[in-house]
Amino acid sequence: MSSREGRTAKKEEEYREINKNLEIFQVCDSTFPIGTFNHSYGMETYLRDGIVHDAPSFEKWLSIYLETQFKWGEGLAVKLVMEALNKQEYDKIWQIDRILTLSAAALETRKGASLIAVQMIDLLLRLYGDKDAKEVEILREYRIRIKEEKAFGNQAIAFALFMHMMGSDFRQSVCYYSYSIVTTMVQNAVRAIPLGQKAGQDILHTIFGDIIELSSAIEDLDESYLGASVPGVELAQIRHETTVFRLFMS
Amino acid sequence: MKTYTYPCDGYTEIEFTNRDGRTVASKRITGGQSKLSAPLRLNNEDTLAFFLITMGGGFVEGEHYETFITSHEKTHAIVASQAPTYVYKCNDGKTTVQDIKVKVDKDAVLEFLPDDVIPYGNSKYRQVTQIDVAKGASLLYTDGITAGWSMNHKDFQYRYVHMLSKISYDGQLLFNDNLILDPHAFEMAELGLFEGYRNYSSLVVVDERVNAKLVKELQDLNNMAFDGAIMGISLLEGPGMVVRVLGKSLNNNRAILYRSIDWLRYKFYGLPHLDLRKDEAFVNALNAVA
Repeated sequence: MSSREGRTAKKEEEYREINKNLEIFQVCDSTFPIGTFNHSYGMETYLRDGIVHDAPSFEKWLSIYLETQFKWGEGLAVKLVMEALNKQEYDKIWQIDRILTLSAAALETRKGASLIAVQMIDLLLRLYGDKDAKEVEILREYRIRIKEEKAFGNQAIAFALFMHMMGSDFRQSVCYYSYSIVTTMVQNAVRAIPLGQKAGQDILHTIFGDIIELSSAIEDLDESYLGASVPGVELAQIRHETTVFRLFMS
Repeated sequence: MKTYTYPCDGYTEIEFTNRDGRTVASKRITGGQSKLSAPLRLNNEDTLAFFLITMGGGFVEGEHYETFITSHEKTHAIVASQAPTYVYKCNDGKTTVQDIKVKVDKDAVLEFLPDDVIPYGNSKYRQVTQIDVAKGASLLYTDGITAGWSMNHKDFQYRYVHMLSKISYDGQLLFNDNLILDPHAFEMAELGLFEGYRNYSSLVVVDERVNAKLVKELQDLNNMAFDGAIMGISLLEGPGMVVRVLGKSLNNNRAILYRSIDWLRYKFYGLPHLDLRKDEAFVNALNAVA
């Protein structure tokens, strides 16, 4: 190989890498239209009770949510799905979908997750449907299963399929997924509490360290943790159902 | 009734069978630290009822308890506990474990109503409950966890509690109820955890008659401000629902749950108010939310 050809190949590799990152940014962006802005994951109950009312109280709720239900739920699901894909144990994905969904005591939480998942899968299939990849095939099957009520649907599972297709590892995938959830939640808080846009960006910026630690914690977890929760987080999601004034669906 | 020695530290097996239209306890085996009461005489109904009993009052470090309850077709029974489940300190770091397996066959009713778990300072506890409800069967199941007990009277002095209940209906998972409490990692009294309360109690109902309309009725019945507690009710992914109470006292939580239990007992089984307890504190708490 001549040095000139070598450079071109290197450049192409570089372009491919940048392009891959841009594609990931797109899916992680809070403007990726999958309807996450409709869901507060129970935060709105605290808002109505006056417990979440400013930047520090929102940040407190956000970090507890991330360290508990999110870590044991969607975060762990990303890891388990990627492991299943690496081992080509594809049926395991439907089990994870089932356990993860049926761990939520709140009806709205399950409904919300399913709605978001459907929009996410449809959009991913729109963008990547032509791609000859096992993950696309599974996404298509996932969509059919949800339609036929054989699966419930969860955004984290769809995201893990996408990241696996992009060749990302578990660590990256969990961190990027956490980022996509957090950025949406911060936008929700800016809108609902309300917070200033700058205060929102401050929270986002300080939470990166937590996200990386979270991915380490998830690395050590096995399936027995899947779907675990804690009292307050869970009850706020249940009580949202009977909240009279609401901006969010869950 | 024979008492066997089992490899675990406490073993209970009870089966209910319909004989000539009556529910009888067709099998009653206990071993180790576990005992069963004699059939209870309830004040206002003749439903067959038993208390689960732990000798010595609680679970000692590293002990392993196993409980099996089977309700065969066309039976109606109540299994409750005589006292809360006390989990004593685990100074050597060994986890105390309880495994519970429950089976409710077609057209059977089981009211499985154990009291809350009270973990002592420094204790580690894991409880795994598997409940399989057949199509057409009916289940009322309570459980709960408290801030625990410790020598210094401080709350949440235990080390770790993991309570997992897997409830299936007609062979399919219905609810994977997975609770992890880790006072070393979290400020337990804070937002998201116990939020200034001390007890988290739960009622799970599985019955073909449970649907969105019934959940709404029960939500309306409980549409009030409870003193020292918050509660919520939601429909599960099938004919089941969950009622949760986060409150300041065990008796108050239980009284709030018993409002729903009594309402459901009347609606489903045509039975009166459940009168298992005679202790005054509970009766007072019950009257306070009535």
